[in-house]
Amino acid sequence: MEHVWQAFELVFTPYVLGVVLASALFGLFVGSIPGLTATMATALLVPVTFVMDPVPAIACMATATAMAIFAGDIPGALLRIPGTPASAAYCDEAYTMTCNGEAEKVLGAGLVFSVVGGLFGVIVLVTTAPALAEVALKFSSFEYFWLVLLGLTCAVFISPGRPAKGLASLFFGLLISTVGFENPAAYPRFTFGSEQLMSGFQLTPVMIGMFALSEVIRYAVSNDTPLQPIKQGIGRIFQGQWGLMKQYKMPVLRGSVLGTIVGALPGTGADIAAWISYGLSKRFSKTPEKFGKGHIEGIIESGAANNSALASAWIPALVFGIPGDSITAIVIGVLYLKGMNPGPTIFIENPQNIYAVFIVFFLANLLMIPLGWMAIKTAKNVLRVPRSVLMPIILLFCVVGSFAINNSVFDVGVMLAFGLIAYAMEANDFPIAPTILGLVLGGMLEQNFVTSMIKADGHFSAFFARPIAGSLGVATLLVWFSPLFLGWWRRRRAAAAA
Amino acid sequence: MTWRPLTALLFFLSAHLAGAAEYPVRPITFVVPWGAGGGTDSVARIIASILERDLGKPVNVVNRIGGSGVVGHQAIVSARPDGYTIGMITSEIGMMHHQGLTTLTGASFTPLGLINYDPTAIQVRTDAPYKDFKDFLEVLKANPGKLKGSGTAQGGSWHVSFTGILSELKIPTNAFVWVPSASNAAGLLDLVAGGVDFVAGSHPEGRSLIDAGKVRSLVIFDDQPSGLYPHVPTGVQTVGLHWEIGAWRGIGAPKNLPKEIEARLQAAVKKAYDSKEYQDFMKQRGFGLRWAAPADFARYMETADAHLGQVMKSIGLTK
Amino acid sequence: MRLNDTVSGGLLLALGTVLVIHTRSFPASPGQELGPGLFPALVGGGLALCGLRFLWCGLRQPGDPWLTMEEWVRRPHMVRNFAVVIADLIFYALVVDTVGFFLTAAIFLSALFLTFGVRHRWIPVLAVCVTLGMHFAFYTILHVPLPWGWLEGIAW
Repeated sequence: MEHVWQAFELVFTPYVLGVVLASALFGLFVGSIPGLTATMATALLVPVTFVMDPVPAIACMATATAMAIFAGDIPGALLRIPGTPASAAYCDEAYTMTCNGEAEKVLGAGLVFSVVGGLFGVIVLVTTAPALAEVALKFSSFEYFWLVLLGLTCAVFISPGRPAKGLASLFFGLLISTVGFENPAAYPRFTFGSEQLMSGFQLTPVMIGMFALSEVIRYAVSNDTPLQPIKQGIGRIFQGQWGLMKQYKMPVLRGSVLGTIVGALPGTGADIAAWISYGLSKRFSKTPEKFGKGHIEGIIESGAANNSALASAWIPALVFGIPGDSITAIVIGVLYLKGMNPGPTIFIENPQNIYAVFIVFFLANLLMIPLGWMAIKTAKNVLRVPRSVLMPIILLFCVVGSFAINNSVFDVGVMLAFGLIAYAMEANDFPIAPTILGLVLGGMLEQNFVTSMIKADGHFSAFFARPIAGSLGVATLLVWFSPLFLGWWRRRRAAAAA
Repeated sequence: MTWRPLTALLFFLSAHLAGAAEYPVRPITFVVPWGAGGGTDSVARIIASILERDLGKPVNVVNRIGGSGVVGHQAIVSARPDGYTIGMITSEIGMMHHQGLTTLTGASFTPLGLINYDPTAIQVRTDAPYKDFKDFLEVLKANPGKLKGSGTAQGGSWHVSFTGILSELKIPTNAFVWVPSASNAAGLLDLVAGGVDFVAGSHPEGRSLIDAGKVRSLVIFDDQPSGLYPHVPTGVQTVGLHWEIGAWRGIGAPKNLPKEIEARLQAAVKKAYDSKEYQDFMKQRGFGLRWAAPADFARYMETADAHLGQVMKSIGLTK
Repeated sequence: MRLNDTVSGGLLLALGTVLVIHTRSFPASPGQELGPGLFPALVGGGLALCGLRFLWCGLRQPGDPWLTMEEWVRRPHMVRNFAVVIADLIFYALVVDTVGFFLTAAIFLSALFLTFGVRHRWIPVLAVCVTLGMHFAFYTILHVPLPWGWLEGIAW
């Protein structure tokens, strides 16, 4: 208990609180700009932390990333430009709600349920970190393979309209992911001799092109401005959120739990958590037909999931020094620099420091409420800007955002190409979200499939031989075949009744 | 009328350019061929911040990732040789061209100094049955194709280094199966999860899991014991093998740098290496400190290159 | 541009087939049983199956026209808008490294403002302010190395 008091003393100093506030504002800024990821926000903070004590240094990173992931929802909802890949899963849904004049509801829900998910993840981190980290260590390529397959399955649930179109879009995304040199065989595929294509297609320019550029093109070729109805502005953000919380108890809980688990696994992070929980939300919803037409349920669940994943990614990082995602990879480096070497002993050697980190996590998530409210209030002014002025500025953001990810003009070309492809796809009713998901997960799917096959000397039965892998495998197959089975069951019942 | 500000601007510009004040007069770009957050990136960011103080102008770290480092290395070489673009060169430069991925070699750069070297080490699970590296090799020889190793991509630095060690010890290189991994951390995770039997990599990469008691290091291929784990026997001690291929990082610039700028940068890099800040940083992170002056650095790259080429050819990775 | 099921199915089938054939030319990976071609071939197979499904649906609705152009294609000023957006992006990508961010971005924005009908006297003000703001946010705060190009002499 003594350590806890020491931790409070470490955190509640004007300096640390000042650092938390400044990095929160920085995180909001970076997250809301398309093309800049939460990872980048953290990397930029590294030199700043060189001069800091351990607690403010870690506080700085924890706060900035939590804010950045939430802030990614704002441009997604208002302009259809997901600020971070984690927001891409429900970007369309949120934008549809904005177009229906429900901007305050969707942004408020994004904020409130980010906080709820974030707090859930932190509580898990505080209470069960060592135990959960041991479980995470049991995941090898077999388990990841099934998890990724489960994630991909969600693409088919997410997509509105004909499933075959969603499937084709998914395969297209997987195809894009195979371009380049980064595959298990280290063989340059589909690069056509281009050095730039050796690295394959970066997610960010593809995502910006497919969501944002296609939207600008649609504006350019239509008379009716798509965002017209939202002139009414954003009123009370928090109104009705408690009602939503009561109405969607289960989705919030499911999203938080799923986000925490996926986040705690090294190698999967907030973005995958958001996709899977959005898919599950539709799958288990009582009203799946409302999805895609501006329905809040999926946004609540996946919004909670991506922020809880963010907190739980620290579990393997703190306990074993294993990065849960690219953000914690940076954090681990900083931990070593500050002499807080990650490992099971971190809880014994410097308990006051680790408690201080936990306190900062709570603080950051609570701080999100007032700061997020401010950010939404500021961002709503965007909607007052005339479309004819806003669209060119968005386009310049698309260009600079694509450039920023790898500092290369090539990615601007990639953005343009995928913007045109997405425009053509949507004109033909092919959903674009599955393509993005395919690109996100394609590399992992292949990596884990091929390495598993190598390890198993080519025997497919090995995919079911380990307990966790076997359970995940059976679960995946059940999700696949349950519609068939349910259909057969209903027909049989109907036949019996007749 | 509107032209007046523009002409003023142009005049200002030409005056500025003609003045040729002492190098550097504007920010320097520091290219890193690997992603933000990795080991190379963190070393680059600290070096950049020290160089910045010495040179008096911002040194901006720019990540140019992709193609196993090809894209970033190419970005350094093809930059204008004016001293305003420098960057990190990593061990992969000695391997990529053997695979036919690029025409770049270590000789395509103006070397400014080697700043880090981490030797190859072999890690296994703590509960693995091998007493030491010799024991491990006996098991490997007795069960060809049964043990699985990981730690890098197919044809990555640790894959090639481990294979090279085996062939030096006259053990058939197909005695093990290489399971490609996206990073050394991913390989170590798979090791702990029971997916593979050993991981080749450096000590700083394995550090957190070694400290956590999940993984132990059998051997390190260096002439002196590891700074992090001095009790781990060296390659010379266990199997009598002197092996100097590992992961290294150096700083380089495009070819044909003006002489005075080259001298200025070399001095700055040496000074940064010697700074207390850099030395402390590397010790904290557990990265191996090793300095080689530009000429020695160039020579080292050349020998490593030839050596790697031989090994890669023997396992059919060359083009 | 709207394709009917027959045409889009045919295209997907062709793409999938080409993929499967092309991946057969990938070399085997030394020491690995599964070569680099396996995964793309599976993806190609998936695309081809989706294509077959569309073909099947399409052939059962023979009345559907193969290609329906959207309405905007017949309106000159919308075609112009479309062309300006695309041309502007290509322009930016081609010249930004030589000319530098400031001038390129200002021209890029002005062209779009003009096309979308912003009042003429506002265009220079907006273009300059947005360019400067953007540069401050990305270059100064976020350290994104936006190219200076011709203005290298005044770089800060």
